[in-house]
Amino acid sequence: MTGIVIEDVSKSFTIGKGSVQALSDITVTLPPGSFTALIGPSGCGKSTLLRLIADVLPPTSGTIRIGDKTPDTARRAHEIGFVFQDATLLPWRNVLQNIRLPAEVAGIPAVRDPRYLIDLVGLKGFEEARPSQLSGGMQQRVAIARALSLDPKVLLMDEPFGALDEITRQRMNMELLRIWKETGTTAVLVTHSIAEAVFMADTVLVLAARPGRIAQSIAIDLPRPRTLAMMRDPAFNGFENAVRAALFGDEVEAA
Amino acid sequence: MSGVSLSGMEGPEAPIVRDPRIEAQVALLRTLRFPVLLVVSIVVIWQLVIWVFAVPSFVAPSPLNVAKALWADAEMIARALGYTLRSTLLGMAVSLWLALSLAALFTVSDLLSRALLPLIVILRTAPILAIAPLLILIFGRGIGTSVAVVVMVTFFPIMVNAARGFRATPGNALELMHVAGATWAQSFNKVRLPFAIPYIFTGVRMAAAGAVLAAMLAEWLTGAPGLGTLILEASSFRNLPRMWAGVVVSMAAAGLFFAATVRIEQRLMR
Repeated sequence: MTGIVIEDVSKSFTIGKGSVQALSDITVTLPPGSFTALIGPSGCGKSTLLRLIADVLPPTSGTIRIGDKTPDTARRAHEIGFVFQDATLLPWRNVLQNIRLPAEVAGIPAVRDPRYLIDLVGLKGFEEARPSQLSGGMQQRVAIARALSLDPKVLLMDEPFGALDEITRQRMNMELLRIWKETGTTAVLVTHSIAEAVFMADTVLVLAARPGRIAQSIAIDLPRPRTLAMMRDPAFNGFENAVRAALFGDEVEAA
Repeated sequence: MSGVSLSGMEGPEAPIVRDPRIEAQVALLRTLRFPVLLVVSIVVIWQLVIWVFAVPSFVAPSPLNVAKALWADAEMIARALGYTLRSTLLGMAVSLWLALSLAALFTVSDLLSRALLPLIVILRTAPILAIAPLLILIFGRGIGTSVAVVVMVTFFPIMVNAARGFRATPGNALELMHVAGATWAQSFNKVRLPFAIPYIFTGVRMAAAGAVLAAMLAEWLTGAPGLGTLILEASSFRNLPRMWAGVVVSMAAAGLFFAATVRIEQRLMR
């Protein structure tokens, strides 16, 4: 299992002639096999941080380590799985072919049997279906199966269920926790939902905007496996309130 | 909870199954209904006018005479058509290859696109009649010049649309390929090119409409034995029925060529 170490990472973008500081001095360690949620207001750089880990963008300064590798080497070694907000399936490929894409690109046989993954995400019988024939929730499951196909050490998810309705979203979260436990990857989830962050994560990192920085790191000390019943637990509400307080600060008291 | 597979609970979100093939055929029949009716009416009225007003055949041939010429000269016309279609297809193939390669290059380098595009536009706007001697000098009086003219006429719309398509690839799809460790070529072949197909075919359709005409234009300049030359010769010998037979065949060929590209696109998009 592989942890993620982020040290003094800053990222600024050039927009026109000016420069915008998206992230400032982020330092955090995500232990191997942990589940971390990133939450924060729009524009706080949580998606940017995820893309820095995935080597989609280079940091302006600072270092990121995935296990003992740089993000670039980890990416080339197929140790990173990425799930986008929209499923980003290739519409001319069926479910099976979409899940096989990473293996095809890598030029190696799939590390995890695609049919097993289809079963794991609960899509047995839909192997030959095209993305356009699937609902949003089903498409997102295909995206998760695809991200897992090369057995990545880290699974990065950028609001994967943001576009789904509340009921489907809750089910998908349960499924995701089950899959995460089964695969043993280090998971990072970007989310807008306080309840989702608390429900899923070992640690919730609350980010603040302008410049994007870690406002607070909240350890969620709830037992696993997590169940829906826990959401009624006072302890659960306590963690929710802690995250809310970190997000809104004084506004909570003022209201 | 997790043991209960969720796929069984997706009832209201059941997949929608359609047969695009049947839909396409119905749509084709529906679009063809009125044009066919119109053409038949025009032919009938034309024939009637010639009968009623006794129009001499050197002014305008009757559809019947054209049909007779078509029958009598069938072999000659078929041979000419074969030649013209061969140059058209060859020209389109070269054009497609060239246009896609250049459009792909433009996605790699913005500088290259800014340097090359004005040159291509100039080449595009040069009147073919004016540069015909040069083309004949380079490509000879045979199929070479025909192919070159077809390429010159069809290349531009395909390239412009393809370049637009290659730039319109969803960003997430490219990031996905990047995270998977894909090379530039892999991203291009597996993502950029397929996503650009509707754009490319917009260009191909625009080009296909003029491709047969371009091949005939080349024949008028070189005298190569195609439909264009057949029409020109029939005209100078005042053989109007044969000339019109050639015109009708060329129009039908251009129409079918256009329809074929539409069909190929539907095939690929399924």
